[in-house]
Parts: sequence; structure tokens; C-alpha cells
Amino acid sequence: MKKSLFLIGVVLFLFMGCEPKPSLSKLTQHLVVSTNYDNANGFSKYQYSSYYLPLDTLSYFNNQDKVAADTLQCLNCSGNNSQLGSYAQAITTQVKSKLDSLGFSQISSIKQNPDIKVYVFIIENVNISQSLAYNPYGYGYGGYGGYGYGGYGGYGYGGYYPTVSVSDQADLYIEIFDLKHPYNGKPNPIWLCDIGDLVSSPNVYSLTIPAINQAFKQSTYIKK
Amino acid sequence: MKKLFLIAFFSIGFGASIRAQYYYDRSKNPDKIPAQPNKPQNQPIKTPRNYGEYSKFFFASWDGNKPMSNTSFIDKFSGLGTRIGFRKRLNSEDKFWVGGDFSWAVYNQYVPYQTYTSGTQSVSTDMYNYSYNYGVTVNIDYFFFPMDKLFVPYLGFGVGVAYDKFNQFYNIYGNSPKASWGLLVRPEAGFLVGFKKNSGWRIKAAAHFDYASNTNSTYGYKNFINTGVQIGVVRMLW
Repeated sequence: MKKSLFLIGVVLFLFMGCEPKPSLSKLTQHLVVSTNYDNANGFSKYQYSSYYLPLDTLSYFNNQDKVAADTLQCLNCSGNNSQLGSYAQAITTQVKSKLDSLGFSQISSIKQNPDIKVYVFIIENVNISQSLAYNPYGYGYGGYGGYGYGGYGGYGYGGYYPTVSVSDQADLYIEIFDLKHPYNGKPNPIWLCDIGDLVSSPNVYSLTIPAINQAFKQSTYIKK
Repeated sequence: MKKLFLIAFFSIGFGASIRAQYYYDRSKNPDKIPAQPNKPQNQPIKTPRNYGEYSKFFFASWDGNKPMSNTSFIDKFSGLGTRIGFRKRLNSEDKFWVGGDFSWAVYNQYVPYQTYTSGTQSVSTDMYNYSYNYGVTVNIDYFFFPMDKLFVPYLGFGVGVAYDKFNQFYNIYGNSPKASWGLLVRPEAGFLVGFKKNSGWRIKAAAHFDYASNTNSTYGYKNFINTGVQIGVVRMLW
């Protein structure tokens, strides 16, 4: 009887830890599009007609980037400023297309006093952690929250093994500022769009364009 | 000659009466059975197993379930479930058996891409809703026929605790899982069918109705109700 109870306990333990989740390939078929706006000001209160959006460029912030001055990304840039290739141009071109279709006019220079400014940027957070973990069976395994790589600890069983965990996440942000009605002397943010995750999603190029379209589709208050 | 015949007749008759008296008075003079070297006299003699008197059984079943409450979260049939348990015969009537079950089921549902708006914020995504359900019950089953029959239908009732955990996954994001405990009540009807009469291995099939009092305000659960079917194997033991 004790043996039976022990076996039941083991089975219970195994099932309690068995909580399947959807696969990453299924989860990343679409990008998540989140938008928010200022309903006290912004589009619900003021009329805007012109916007400023630097084409072909966007800012790229990576927490692992040690050079803060090279965040600007563009197609014709070089070095660290061309990490995103044509992706930056594809994004800004699509944003321009949506704003134009809504009746806004693009102004080529901020000095021409546009009504609103569109700021496009990407933030990527890479977390890498390394630790020493004791494994009695010879091979280490990855840690929590990302992809792990087992370490090699020499011969025999048991020992401390270095484990490396990497988690990587990036979001595309599109932000609109009201330049005509500043807040505390600074451009007033009136609309924010967050699209992610750019790292885990396959074919992020083809997913980003529909995501930008969706951002404007669900923001019906953006109008001239 | 006649005298010799009478002497022989009485001699045989006298001897037989002595032997008869010896067996008649056995209680006063029991037979001495020589001790067997390999079998101590005080050890009970094992009798052959009586296959008609199983006293317990274990089972493991596949369990398929369909949720019936809060179907806006999940309403899809789930084939991802199992049930293990045991029963012990309550008395010699061979009708009532008591025991316990452990059940595990995972429900999931894909929610197509759509936009959710709350206040000034809108979120568009597709997502997967998940519910992980565990149950531990004490059970009593009434079997309509003795266990030596090939086909034995039964009615069962279980009561215990349910632990349900709800979660949503979208892209690489997800909400924090919400878990709750509740009272679980589970009536069921089914049958055991053996591969032969008095079979030690049998097939179990049953349909059950589960009511769990688990609540979750985040996902809108006031309880968790489901129906299910289970098919499994049973191991009868003495």
C-alpha cells in the first residue's frame, strides 16, 4: 500500500508540473499593436494639418549599445547606423503613407513650424546573464527567461557549470507630438503606438507593415 | 472344524470392534501427524486465489472534457486530460467500492486577431486562452453486478478539491497566471468490461459531470463546469 501511495504521489508531482503552452511559432504569427492617446488634448481637441517626419531614419536604442551617439538608423548610413538596413525606411514610408491618406501634409523641415511631429524609434532590450550552477549529471542547462546553453564542465559526473541565459525583446514605437500646444514648454505627446515583439516574430518585415496599418485603423480619432 | 470357524469369526469381530472404538474416540486420542520439515504447523495454509473476490483495483484513463461555464473564455473540447485512481471494496456485498481519483486536464482556445479597447487604449492581437485544471477527489462507486461478471456497470460520485489556473498568451507576452481553489463535485456513470470472465485487466469507460466552485474575476469565472468522457485500463487486485 505504501508503494502504491508513493507511485501516486510521483504521478501527481509529474502532472502538476505539466502545463503545456502554445509554441512560439504559433504565438508570433502577428505583432501586438497597442495604441493610446490623450483624449483631453490632441486630435479630439485641436485640428492639425501638417506633420514632420524624417524619412528613412529612425532611432534605435539597444541597452547593449555602448555608443549612445549612433542611435540614428537609415538606409544610406554606414557602420552602426545601418544595423537595420532598409527596415527603417520601410517603417517611415508606411507611416507617411497612412498620414498622407488621412489628409495630413508632410513638411520637410522642422523649421517650417509643422503642427505635429512624428517620432519613430525602436527599443531593444537584451539581457544576458551568466551563472555557475551545480549539476550532478554533468551538463548544465540554460537559466530562466530565455535561451540557455549548457556548459561543459570536464570529465566525470557532477560539478559547477557556467550557464548563459539570453533574453531579447524589441518594440517599435511611433509617437506623435503636438508642437502647437506644448506642455511645460516641451512638445506634448498626444499619441503613442507600441508594436512588438520584433525579435521573436519571424518575417518581421512583412508583419510590421500590416501592424502599422492596424495602428492607424484602431485610432480612428487621428484625422485632419 | 466348526469350532475353528467360530474362533476365527469372533476373533475378527472382536478386532474390528476394538478398531471401531479407537476411531470413534478420536477426540480423546487424536491422530498424530508427523511434522513436515518445510512447512511449520502454525503457518496458515494458502488456498488458491479466488478470482471472484477482487478487493481493489487501480486505473489510468484518458479523459476528454468540454467546458460548459464561461465559454467566452474557452468552449473548445479538450482531449488533453487524464485520470488515475484506485478503488477498494467496501464490504463483501461486492457492490460499493471506495477510493480516490486524481484528474488533470488542460483546456486551450485560439482567439483570432481582433482589437480590444479600454478607455483611451486599444490593443490588437490574437491570443491563446489556457486553463490548467487539477482535481483530487474521494469517490464511492456502486457496481450493479459482482466483479466476477464480464460487464459491470456502475454509478459513481466523487467530492474533493479543484485547483484551476487560467492564463493568456499573446506573442511573447502573457498575463500573470491566476489560480484558485474550489470544491469539486463529480457524479459519473460508466462500466468495466473484462477481456474474459474474472479478468485481471479490464477496460473502463465512463461519462462524468464536474462542478467546481473555483472563481476568477480576471477571466470571468464564477465556477468551472465541464462534462467529460474517460476511457482507460483497470488492474484488478486481490
